Amino acid sequence: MLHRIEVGFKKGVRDAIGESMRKRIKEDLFIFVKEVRTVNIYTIDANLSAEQLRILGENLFADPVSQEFSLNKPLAKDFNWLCEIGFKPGVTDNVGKTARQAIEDILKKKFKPNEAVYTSKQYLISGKGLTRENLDNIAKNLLANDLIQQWVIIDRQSFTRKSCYLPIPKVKIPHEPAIITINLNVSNKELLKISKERKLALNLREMQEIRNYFSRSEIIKERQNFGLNKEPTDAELEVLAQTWSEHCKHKIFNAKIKYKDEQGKQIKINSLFNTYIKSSTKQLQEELDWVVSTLWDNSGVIRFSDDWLLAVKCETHNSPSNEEPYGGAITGIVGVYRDPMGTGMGCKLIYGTYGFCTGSPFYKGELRPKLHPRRLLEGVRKGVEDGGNKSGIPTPYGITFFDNGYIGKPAIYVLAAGIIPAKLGNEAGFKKKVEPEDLIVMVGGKVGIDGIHGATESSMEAGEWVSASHVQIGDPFTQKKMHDFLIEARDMGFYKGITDNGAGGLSSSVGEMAEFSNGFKLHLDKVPLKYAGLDPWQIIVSESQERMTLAVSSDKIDKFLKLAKKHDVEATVLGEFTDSGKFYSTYDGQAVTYMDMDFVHQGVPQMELEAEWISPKKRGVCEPELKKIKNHNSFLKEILARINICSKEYITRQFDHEVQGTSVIKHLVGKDNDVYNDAVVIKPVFDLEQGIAIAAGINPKYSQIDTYQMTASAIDEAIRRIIAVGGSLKQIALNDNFCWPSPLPTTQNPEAKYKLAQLIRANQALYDYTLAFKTPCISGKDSMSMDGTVKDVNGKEQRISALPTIQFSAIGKINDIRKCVTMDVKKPGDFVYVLGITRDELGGSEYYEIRGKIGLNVPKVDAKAAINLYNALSQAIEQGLIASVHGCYKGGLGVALSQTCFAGGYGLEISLKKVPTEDLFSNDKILYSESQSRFVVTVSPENKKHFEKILNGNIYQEIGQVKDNKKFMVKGIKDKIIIKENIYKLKQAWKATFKNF
Amino acid sequence: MKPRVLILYGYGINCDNETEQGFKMAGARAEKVHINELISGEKKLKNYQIFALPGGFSFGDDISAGKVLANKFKYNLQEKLNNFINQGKLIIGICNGFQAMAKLGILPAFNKNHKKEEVTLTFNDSGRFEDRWVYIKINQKSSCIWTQNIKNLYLPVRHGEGKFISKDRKIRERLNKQNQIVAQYVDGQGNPADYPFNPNGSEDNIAGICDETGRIFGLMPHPEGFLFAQNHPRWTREKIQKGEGIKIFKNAVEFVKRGLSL
Repeated sequence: MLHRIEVGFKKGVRDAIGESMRKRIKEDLFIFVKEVRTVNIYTIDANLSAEQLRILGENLFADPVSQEFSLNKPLAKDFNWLCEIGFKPGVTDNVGKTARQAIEDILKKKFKPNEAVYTSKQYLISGKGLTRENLDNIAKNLLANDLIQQWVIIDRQSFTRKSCYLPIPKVKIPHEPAIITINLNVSNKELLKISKERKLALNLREMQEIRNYFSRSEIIKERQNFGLNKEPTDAELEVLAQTWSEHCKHKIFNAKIKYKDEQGKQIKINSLFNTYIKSSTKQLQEELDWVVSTLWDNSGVIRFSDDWLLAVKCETHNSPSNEEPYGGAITGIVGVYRDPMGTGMGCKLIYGTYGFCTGSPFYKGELRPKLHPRRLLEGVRKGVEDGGNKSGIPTPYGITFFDNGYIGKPAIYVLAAGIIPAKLGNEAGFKKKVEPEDLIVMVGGKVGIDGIHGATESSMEAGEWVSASHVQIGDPFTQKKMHDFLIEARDMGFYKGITDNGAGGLSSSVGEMAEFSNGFKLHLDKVPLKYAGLDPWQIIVSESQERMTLAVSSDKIDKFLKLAKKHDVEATVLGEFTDSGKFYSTYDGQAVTYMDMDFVHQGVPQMELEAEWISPKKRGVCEPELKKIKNHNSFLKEILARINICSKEYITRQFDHEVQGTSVIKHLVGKDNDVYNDAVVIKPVFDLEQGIAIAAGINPKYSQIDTYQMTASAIDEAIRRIIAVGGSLKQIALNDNFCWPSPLPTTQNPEAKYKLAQLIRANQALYDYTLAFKTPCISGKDSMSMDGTVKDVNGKEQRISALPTIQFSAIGKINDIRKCVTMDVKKPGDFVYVLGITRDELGGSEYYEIRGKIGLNVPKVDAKAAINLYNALSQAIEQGLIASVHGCYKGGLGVALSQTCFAGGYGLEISLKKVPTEDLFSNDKILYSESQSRFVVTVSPENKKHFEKILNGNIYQEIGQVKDNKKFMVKGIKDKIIIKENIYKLKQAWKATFKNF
Repeated sequence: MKPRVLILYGYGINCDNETEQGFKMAGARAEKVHINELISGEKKLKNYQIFALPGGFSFGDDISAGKVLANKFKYNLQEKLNNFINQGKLIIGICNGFQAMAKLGILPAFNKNHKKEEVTLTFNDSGRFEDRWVYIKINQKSSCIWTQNIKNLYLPVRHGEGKFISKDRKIRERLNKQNQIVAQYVDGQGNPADYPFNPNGSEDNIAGICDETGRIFGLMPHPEGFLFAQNHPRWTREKIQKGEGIKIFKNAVEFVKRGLSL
């Protein structure tokens, strides 16, 4: 029996959700709408009496002060158009799930398995002359996403009681679960067809390797004992496809590469990962005592204090975010939280960060992406907002980077950090143990067909095909309950090992945990399901979210399950770990998989690739000849308003960046709490004054010239930000996240060899600079398919590749948070210094980009000079000699000086003549060069001498003074005043770009 | 004897740790108790003198913020809660806790009717969740125990549904007349002001109210978000000596120490 409860706001109560939608319809779609009101609809598919429904309407669904409700009749009136939006079958309906629990609690009556609550939303839209075409546009491009939602649009005249009813999205799989086998003794063409049809993303060599394994006589013999034959089951093939996917195995990073370098010399590289990343991390781990655990677990672990360890992991969630930004991003952030939760014995989460690289939100070009970048940005922002805020984990820091190369696919970064006691009983907190006979326990959400093939699909290009089942919506509420439960269970010593269920689902999580014991037996029929009808192969590879897999010894299992009950968390014993060496799973007593653990984990054949570097000069990149800026005042305001420089306060404020009470340096600082600091700092343990500085470095524009310098600059930027707030090179860890256009040779990808060479150069820089700065990459991730097919105005498909992008996330240890500094000038009379040298390095700069150029002179990082300077500055901050520090980033000195004064609310008087440069005689270039490793620092007169003494031996110069006025005044190299502008006008320009967002 | 504080947690409540810390710093014996431990009877409300409903996203803010949590109490713990209130014990609800208290009716509780919803917290005028620091002014005529000897506070708000509205004008007037409006959003100079100072569009700039006895207090800003001087957004440029939020917890702890019957 279906019951429909509709809830709307009472007359006179502002419908803030409808009102903000009205604004977005205007801002995003340029359609003028007079009013939007919303009605929330709860469709209850359960046997309830009229009296029960009334109780629910009055006590649960409607707020008696602000809302009204109706039972089984429409609330909608006074509108021109109505659009009702509901989910498609199988899509997570978080509110529906909560409503069901709440009803059970109120009525003290359990729902039957096939009963449920479904939510939908009506938008009542009024306005003159609105057409159905307008409404289609509004629904499709703003209100709903056809990948996960269904909707109906009705005009006032056609509206009847039932005309807006959508079919309830009940999942019915009219199918008896079955295990089938697949004959691989077929032609190569047939093998590839199997891979394609089953969406396995396995290449011919891999398919052949699998066939060879199952054809081996000893394997056939062994498998016969379990009722299996020489043909793999569907589940076995699926498990191998997930485990061997690019996403899980990083086949490109582990490939054998023939590389023709910049001198035309042929080099052989056996695994980029081993040669550059792993090798650097290993060397540094040996040298640095604070690096605790890297290269094996879900995230890298470093020491935070005597008693606490810190685990950090940054991930990307590009493919799903490209299709369904909200679902992709919320699943991304909630998913990456499970990495520290599954590290060592499990961490308590302490912060998350975001990085959104999309096309320009103001894009007006020829391409017609399915989702406009503005919508995509809002979707991913909202996804991280809900994922973070509802998890009670602060999101204190994040970046945006806009470039139209991301219109094919965005780069969406999500990072999570957690802390764990250094010692748990007698064991180290970062270790875990799994022994034969330990029970396999799955905790958290249930399993459905959502999220099947996430690992294989994310390894493919956007636009090829995407199925709705791959897009999920994370459920932070379920995970928060699980998180609270697991921390308690850990502290009580109720489990021995833990890992998360991410890509590949149970096949990966159980498979990886079983490497400790060397085998397992898993009963797939015991897995709790969202609905019946799933095949065993679907159960084992489903990536349904919010699940962890644990090893619990049988003497602790009762206590463990009891604690789960207290927290209302699902926990189920699914089998046991063994030492059989076998990847063994069953369904109703029948074998589903029986493979050697070694083959599953090590069997994937190594890829072989070729790379060739083409120097920037050969690619025709050169320095432009440009006319000098005529009006510096207006140019400065123009550059401050650039999308990659300006304020995005509306994003920052919508993240809860202070929950847990640990925030000590916020992202927005200064007199009016509204200008970005270089980094943020948290104090994760209440009774310690030690803290963590958090920042990131990213600059894909430099990839247009040379990915080596791009990488070096990103590393230097990440570190510089930590130094600026009070960190030091004594302890900074990094996470490297590559988002690269595919370097695999196909007919559509003629530049594959060059893209691979770009990747090699980036890796070489990573190796060189992480070792030089002694900043190990403790975790990382690569996403190697930053390409997409987008239609242009004429409907012609265009292949778009993003700029090679790396985000380096930095984690800096702060010994005493009370010594941290911020970027805003503090008081008149303080001296302004520039630290570091300014060179003719405007290649890839904002200055050139405004003028339509790229340039050749990409900034280079002089690690030795930078290290000396960073150490001196850290010392000066430590001694309390510094009033403010701000690094120079995009937009160079001009932008850094402006921000520093308008944040502090005082004027500056600056002389460019005094800026230390390498033969630079142009005001334009001194102001806007993007040379790395530079800072703007203010120092009070009483500290001047001491400060200069510490800086001795570095390049630095006092260039002016903080003034007790509101003027930003800059004298050029010929002592002529070239900029004289009110600081609040500069700030206004910096804040104007996104003011309507 | 240190006053005993029950800090509610579980089901998506997320400011439990810092609220516990705040009470500890204020000199209380604070203990986190899961909602289900109260329902099962494993832990008893009557063993505590102060009950704190911390901020968070209980039940994901689904349906409406605090509503499902309010129902958990209404349908499982109403009597125990009434006894606690009738004994003159203290309750504080912060942010999501305040939302739940309003929806449960234990605030403003005119004539000691603790079951009637007279006011609510609905969506911010901006339609958005926002995290920003706000100035609040304390009503010196209010009998609220939690805010005694406090004139002004600067605290963070972090919510999407914090706009205070009353059911009708009568309730609004009565709240005012009985000095149950404890805290109001003001600008840096202490004058009533609009957005962003009033971050959500609350009626009469209301940030927090108490019941008629002054023992039950609900507010949207987070006192537990300002336990340390360095939580202040401008401590690197202004001289901030210590966390001001603790004062609220201290008032309650001191009150209990002096004896509840006062």
